[in-house]
Amino acid sequence: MPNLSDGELIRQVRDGRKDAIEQLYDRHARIVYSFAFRVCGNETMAREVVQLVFLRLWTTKAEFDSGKGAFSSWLITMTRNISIDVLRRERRHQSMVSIDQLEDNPGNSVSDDDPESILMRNDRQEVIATASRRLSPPQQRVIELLYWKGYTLQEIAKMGGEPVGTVKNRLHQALKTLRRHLQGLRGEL
Amino acid sequence: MNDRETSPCEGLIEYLTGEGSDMERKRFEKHLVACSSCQEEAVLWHQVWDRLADDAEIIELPTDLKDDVMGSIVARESLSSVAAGKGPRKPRFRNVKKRAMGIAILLIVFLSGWLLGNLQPLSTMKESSAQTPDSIETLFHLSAVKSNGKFEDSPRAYGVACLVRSKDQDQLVIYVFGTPQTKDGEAYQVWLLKDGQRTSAGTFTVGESGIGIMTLPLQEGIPEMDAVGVTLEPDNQSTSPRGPKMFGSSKQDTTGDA
Repeated sequence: MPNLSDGELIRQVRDGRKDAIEQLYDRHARIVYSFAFRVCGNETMAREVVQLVFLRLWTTKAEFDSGKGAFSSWLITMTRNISIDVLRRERRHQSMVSIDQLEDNPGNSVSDDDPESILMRNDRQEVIATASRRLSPPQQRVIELLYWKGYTLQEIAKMGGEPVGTVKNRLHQALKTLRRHLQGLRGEL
Repeated sequence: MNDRETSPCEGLIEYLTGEGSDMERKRFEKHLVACSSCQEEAVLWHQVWDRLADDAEIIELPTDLKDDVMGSIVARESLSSVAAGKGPRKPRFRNVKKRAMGIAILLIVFLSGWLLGNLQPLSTMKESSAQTPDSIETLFHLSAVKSNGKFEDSPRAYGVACLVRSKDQDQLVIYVFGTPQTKDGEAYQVWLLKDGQRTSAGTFTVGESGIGIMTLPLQEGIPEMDAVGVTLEPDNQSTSPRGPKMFGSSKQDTTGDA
C-alpha cells in the first residue's frame, strides 16, 4: 500500500479494509501501547487498551477530519478515554481483581528501532518533563490524578480533604505554569 | 474572569474535564459561545492538555499483540452475525446531537479569530468519553478444568465473565486468575456457545502475574450464549479449538452489581 495519509486510511477502514487498519496499527500502536502502559501501569491492561482502541477505530462511525487537528491527538484522546474506562472499571471491580496484583512487566524497555522517531519523541518527553518540574508537588499530583489516573475533581478533592474549588484553582494554576514554560522551552529549541 | 467564582464561568473546568451532567454541559456550551474569557481559557487548556501525553515513555510493543488485535477484529465480525440484537443499544442520536453541538460551538470559536496554534477541537474531547461503569454483573463463573493437567502449579485458578454496563456502551469482559503463563506464541481463546455452535470472541495472553483479561465491546447487543469456554491454543489463529480446554462456565449468576 502506498504511503497514504492517516485520514485516507481511516476512510478505507470505513470501507472494511483490514489492510488499512493493519497499517494504522503499524504506524501508531507503539504510541497507543506506551500511553496505555503509562496510565494503567501494567502490560495486561495496556494490551487490553490497545485491542479496544483498534476495535474502536474499526467500528466507530465517527469521521476523523484532518482539518480539525492531528490524527495522533485524536487517537491519544481516544486512547486516554479508553484507558481511563479500563482503570475505573478495575477500581469499581476491585473486589474481584486488584490492580495492585497486576505487576509491571520488567521486560519492557525503550525500543531501539526507528531511532529517529524515538529521538524526536524523547525530545518531546524531555520538554514536558522539564516543564512539569516547575510545578509544585500538589500541582503535579492533581495533573497525575486527573490526567493519568482518571479521577474526577470531586474525587481528588475528597482524597485531599479539601474543597473542589481549591483543586480547580490548583489545576488552573498548574496549566498556566505549564503553558508558560512550554512556550519558553519551545523558544529555546 | 474576575467574577469566576460566582458566574457561569465557574463550570469551565468541569466542562473541559468531561464532568457534570448532560444538562450542565449544555448550559455551559450556551455560555461558552458568548464568553470570550472562557474561550481563551479553553485554548490554554488544549495547548497544555495535548502536550501532557508526551510524558509517556515510548516502550517496546509486544510482538504478539498485533495478532491479538487483528484477531479480535475478525472475531468481532463473526460475532456480529450471531448477536441477538435485543440487547441495550446506545442512544446514538444523543451522541450525534452532542457532537453536532460541539462542532457548532467550535465553528463559532474558529470564526471568532483568536484561536491559537494547532488546536484539537473541543468536540474530540468527547470522542470516546471516559465513564465510570454503571454496573458490573457476573454472567458466568469460570471453573478451571483441572483434569487437563495444566493447573498442577495453579490450584486456585478461576475466572469470571462479566457484563460491564455504562451509559454509552456495554462490554463483555472475561477475567482469568492464577492461570499458567502463555509462552512461545500460545494464546488463550474465548469461545461463546449457543445451541451447540461455538464462536470465537477473541484471544489474550497471560504473563507472570497469572492474570488475563479480554474485553469485547457489545455494539450489536448482547450475544445469546448458553456457556463460555476458554482454551489454550498453540497460537492466536485458531478458528476452532486445537488446544486443551482451560476454563468452562459452571453456573449462571443473575445478581451482583460489583
